[in-house]
Amino acid sequence: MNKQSIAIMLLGNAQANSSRTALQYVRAALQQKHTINCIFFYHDAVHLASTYPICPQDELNLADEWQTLISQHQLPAVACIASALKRGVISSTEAKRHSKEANNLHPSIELAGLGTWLEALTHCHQHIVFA
Amino acid sequence: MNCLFILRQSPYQGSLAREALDMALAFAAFDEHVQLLFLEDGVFQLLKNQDSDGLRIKNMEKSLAATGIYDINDIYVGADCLTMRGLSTDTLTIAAQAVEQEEIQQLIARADKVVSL
Amino acid sequence: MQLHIISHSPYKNTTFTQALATATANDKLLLVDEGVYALTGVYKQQIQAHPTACFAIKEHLVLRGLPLDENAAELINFDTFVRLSLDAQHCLSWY
Repeated sequence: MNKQSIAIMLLGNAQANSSRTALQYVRAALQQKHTINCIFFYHDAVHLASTYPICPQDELNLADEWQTLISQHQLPAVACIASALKRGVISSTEAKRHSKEANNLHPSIELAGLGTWLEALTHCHQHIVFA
Repeated sequence: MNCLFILRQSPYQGSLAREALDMALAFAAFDEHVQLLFLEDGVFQLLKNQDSDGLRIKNMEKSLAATGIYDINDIYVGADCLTMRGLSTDTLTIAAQAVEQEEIQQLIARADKVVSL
Repeated sequence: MQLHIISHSPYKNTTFTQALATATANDKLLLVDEGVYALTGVYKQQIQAHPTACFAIKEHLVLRGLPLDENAAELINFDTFVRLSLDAQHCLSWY
C-alpha cells in the first residue's frame, strides 16, 4: 500500500479505551510508514496533553505514552485551546494571561483552534475520530 | 470541500454536542460547505422552546439559529430517529429534511469528509 | 466502501442499531473496545444476518474473555485496522 497521510482526532480522556486504541492505531500506521499529519486532542482528550497525570507503576500512563510518541516521531499535535482552557490544561502563556500559578501543557503539543483541524482534514487521505 | 457532520448527542449531556456544533460552525466560518445530519439523540437538539435562563448553560436552540448566518442550509434529520422519539419535522426549531436510511447512505457517499461526533 | 467503527456496547445504547442500519452490503463493520460485546447474544445474530462484513480486534475479545468465534467476525490486529481504514472512503465512528 502507498504511504498515506492520516489525521487523528481524540475525544476521550486519559482513562478512555479509545485513547489507548488510538495510540495502538497510530503506532501501527507509523510502522507501515504512513504519515500522521495531525493528532488533534478535542473535548476531554485535551487531558492527554497534560504533564500532570501520575499513575501507579503497573498501569499505563496514557498521557505520558502519547507525549513520548509525539516527541519521538515529531508528530504535529494540537490540543484545542477552548477545550483545554476549560479543562485546566494550560500553557505558560495562558497561565500568565489568566494569573494561574502553574502550567501543564506538554511542550510537544500546541494549543490552537479548530482551523488547525480543518487544515489537517483538508490535506489528509483519511481521518478517524476515536471516542 | 463538502463536510458532513453527523451529530448524535443530546444537547445537554455534557459538552460534546456543543463542541460538535462549534466545529461545524468553525468550518462554515472558514467557507467550507457544511451539511448537518442529526441522528439518534442528536434530534433532541432540534426541539423548540429550550430554556436555559438563569442556568449559565449555552442554549443549543439559540446556537442552532446561527446555522442560517453561517450559510449552513443543508440540514437533515434521521426520519426513523424522529418517529421513534414522537417528533416530526414540523415541530423542530430549524428547517430540516427528514431522510430515510438510503438517503443517509447517499449523503455519506457524496461527502468529501464525514465527521461523526 | 465505508468503515463503521463501533466502540461501545450495543447493550448500552441504540448506536449499534443505528450503525447497522446505516451500513450497506459493500461497507465493513469494525468492532473495537466495548464494541466487541456485539459478538454476543441477539447482536451476534444481527451481525450474522446482516450483509456487511464484520471485523473485530482480537485482543479486545481476549481481554474480555469472549470466545474467538470467526463465524461472526474476522479477528484482526491493528495492522489490518490501519489497512481497512485506508481502503475506506470514510471511517465513521459510532460510540
